[in-house]
Amino acid sequence: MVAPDVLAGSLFSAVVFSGLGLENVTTPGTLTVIDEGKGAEFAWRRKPSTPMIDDLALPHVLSIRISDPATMSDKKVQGGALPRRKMVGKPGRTVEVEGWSDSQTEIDAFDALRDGLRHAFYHPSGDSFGVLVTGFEPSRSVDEYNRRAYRLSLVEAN
Amino acid sequence: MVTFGGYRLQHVSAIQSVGSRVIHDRLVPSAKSFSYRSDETAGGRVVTVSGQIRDDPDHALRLEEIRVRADDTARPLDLEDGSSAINAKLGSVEAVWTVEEGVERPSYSATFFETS
Repeated sequence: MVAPDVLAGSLFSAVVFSGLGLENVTTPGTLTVIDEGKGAEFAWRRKPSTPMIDDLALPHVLSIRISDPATMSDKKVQGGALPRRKMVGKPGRTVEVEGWSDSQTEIDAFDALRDGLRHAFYHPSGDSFGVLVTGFEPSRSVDEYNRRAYRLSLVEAN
Repeated sequence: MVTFGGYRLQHVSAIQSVGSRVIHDRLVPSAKSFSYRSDETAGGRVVTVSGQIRDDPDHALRLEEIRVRADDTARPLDLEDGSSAINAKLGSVEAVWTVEEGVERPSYSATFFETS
């Protein structure tokens, strides 16, 4: 969004006639033009239709669970009063994704994400944050050879 | 309606409140009847509010509005069920998206800790 130009300053003009048909124009003063713009800068965001880890789209997602736990400490007060509670801190969000896949290649790719490196998790809402892949459990039941359920566990990491 | 510090939580479906008290329990040797017990103090309630954000294109923003209130600040939690408001801090927040409900209908639960 760009604001309209702002014209500031003063403009004086005087016309002095000296003789017939002769005119002098004197324009003292200053003309100051301030061109001001206001903009908002947004970070580039991806908004995929399915959750993604880096460039890998998670197939056939059935549920996404994001928990943001907080560690609370409480100090009991004698005499029946309520305890004093304080938030010690937050360990960071944890994500659990459940779905299924019919491709062994995809399952191998997800299993390879448990490499201890930081990856980017993209939620369909547009939210994204860095994660470590802590667990990937595909189903190994012979009855589900063409629809292998999986559970992916992530923890937020900077 | 459930409000926390003036902020209204959307479409609350369930409230779970767990209260506790600190009871001293000391066995008295050779006592035939029962041991010594006394009520020391209150443990403070832990209230879990579950609900859903429905048909809101800004559902991610609504969840973030809840999450930012977990800032170690005590606010009045009013369950508006006839009980009086309590002073509480927001702790854990959880959000769940399922394929049945769709991406724009996340369920959430927020855990509040009663404090003095």
